[in-house]
Amino acid sequence: MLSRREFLKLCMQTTAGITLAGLLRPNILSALAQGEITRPPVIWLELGSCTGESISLDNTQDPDLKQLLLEMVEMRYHWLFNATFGEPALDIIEKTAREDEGKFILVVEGSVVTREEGRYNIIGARNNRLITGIETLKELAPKAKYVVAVGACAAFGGPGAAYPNPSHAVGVQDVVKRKVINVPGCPSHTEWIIGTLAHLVMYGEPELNNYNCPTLFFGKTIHELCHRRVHFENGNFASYPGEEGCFYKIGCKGPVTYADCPTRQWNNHVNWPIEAGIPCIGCASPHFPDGMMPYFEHLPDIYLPGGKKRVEKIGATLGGLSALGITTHALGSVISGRMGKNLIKGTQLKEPSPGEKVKPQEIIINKLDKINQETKEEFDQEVILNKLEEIITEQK
Amino acid sequence: MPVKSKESEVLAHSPTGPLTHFHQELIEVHPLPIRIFHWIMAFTITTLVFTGMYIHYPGLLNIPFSTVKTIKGVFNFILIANTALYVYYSLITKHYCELIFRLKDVHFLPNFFRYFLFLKDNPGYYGKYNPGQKATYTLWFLLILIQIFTGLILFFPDIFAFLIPKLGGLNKIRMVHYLVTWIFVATIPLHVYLALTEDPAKLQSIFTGWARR
Repeated sequence: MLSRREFLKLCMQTTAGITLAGLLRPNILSALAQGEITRPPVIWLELGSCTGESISLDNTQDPDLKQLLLEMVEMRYHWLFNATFGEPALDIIEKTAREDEGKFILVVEGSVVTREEGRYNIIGARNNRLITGIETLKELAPKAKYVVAVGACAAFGGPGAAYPNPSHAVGVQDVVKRKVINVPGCPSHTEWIIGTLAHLVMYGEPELNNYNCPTLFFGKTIHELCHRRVHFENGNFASYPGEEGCFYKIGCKGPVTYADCPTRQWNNHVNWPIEAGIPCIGCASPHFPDGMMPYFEHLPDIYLPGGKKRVEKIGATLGGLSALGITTHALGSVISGRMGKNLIKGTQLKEPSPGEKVKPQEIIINKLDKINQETKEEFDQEVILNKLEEIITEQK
Repeated sequence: MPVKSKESEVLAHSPTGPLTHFHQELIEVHPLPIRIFHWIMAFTITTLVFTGMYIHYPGLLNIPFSTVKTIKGVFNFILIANTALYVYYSLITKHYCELIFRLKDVHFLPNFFRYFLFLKDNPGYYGKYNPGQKATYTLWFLLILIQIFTGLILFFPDIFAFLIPKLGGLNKIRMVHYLVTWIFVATIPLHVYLALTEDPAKLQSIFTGWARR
């Protein structure tokens, strides 16, 4: 059997022409044949979703991947690939949960709809009673060996839970009280799914990052791996999609999205968004899509009571208010004569500093000044001087 | 506050008359460490605001982006070191007592605003800094702490990985960092304008340390 280190190396390397499934399949098959690993049963549950992950898996042109999925695990229930339907299909779920408790892997696709006790997401009917998705998930999750949330919706809510979220959808980890392995992406790359499942089958739980995503595939940002990184460092920025250069300026979410798209490539390994001339929209990010929208701006919108606001506008408004305030105050200062008074009096402190003992002469002068200002009468300076001299001699 | 007593000559021919000049002295308004901290802060924050804004709106100048990032990276840590030393200095010299806005300063606010809105001629006496200054400096101190915190997370996302989910993700942190920069952009001109027009003696003392009384 492959050592774990070799497995990780295989998963992270890029080989032209050979896919991850093609690399893994012989090793997994030999390990299965030698009885080193066993095929775990899998229940693939689809909740509130567009079936994107399943279609993504089904549409792959990689024959190894489909084979591997059938050989590596025992797919007990998947509504799309099942040969049976209706109550017999639901019986399979029940039987697996009963007989293989603690052995089966539960793969969840789609967000968990919680509004009206999940009645907006029905996955089947038994004895004329509709069975909701959240009910099935809560029943199965504690019995499973691993719970894998596949796709942005299952992992973090994703598009299913986007603003204004009428169905009150949430990610799987918010509903079940256990560790969930998240494989995000919209859709999740087939190799991310198959690689995570292979790791679970062969070595158990993979190393997870702070969002419980396997670091195997989500350990580095797209920005770090991007082949247009050199344009970023050189300051060569594209102003429109399709141009040469880095898409940072038009809102590429590569710097905040952890995924290995640049090396893994999409659409059966022919291309990926940035090579096709469009910025990354951050679909593998935990805050997709609300935290990533608008796609062609750096920063997300702020949701205020008055509606969506751009951060740039809020900032510029603050700056404008400040400029307005300064202008008004400056005008007021000039008109009221304060500006002239402050500046002409020059570099002398107007008030005593803290802790300083104020001299009596000064107090008297200030008082006289005040009287002078209030009465607007001209005092004879000489009289005042004489008076002061008297006071000073008295004080001494 | 140290006072350099200096018997200055009475200027009999002065246009304002000899009245206010019979006994003059120099007062140290800002000691040397405070002046050094202030000017390092002024220089680094200005650089950081400009480089930060360039990072948000790149491509205006024909220079390598990595240069801008390097400048910002260096000044980040100068600001952090300066802030740490300033906090230490303020604590041991009790400088923070006259700098930080406290609850009792709220009572002085109406009087202060009356002066500000030209309803009153006399600025009033509040100590070294007036309530408006105290509020501004306290706000800036808190904002600098936010900037250091969010900036460090953005600079070392792998080290602070455990914090990122709790704070709503890297993009949210980036947004907070950017918005706080705008608060600096909006409030620094107020400080510069008032420093230039309110009291030239204090303006002089932030350069030389001393002012006449």
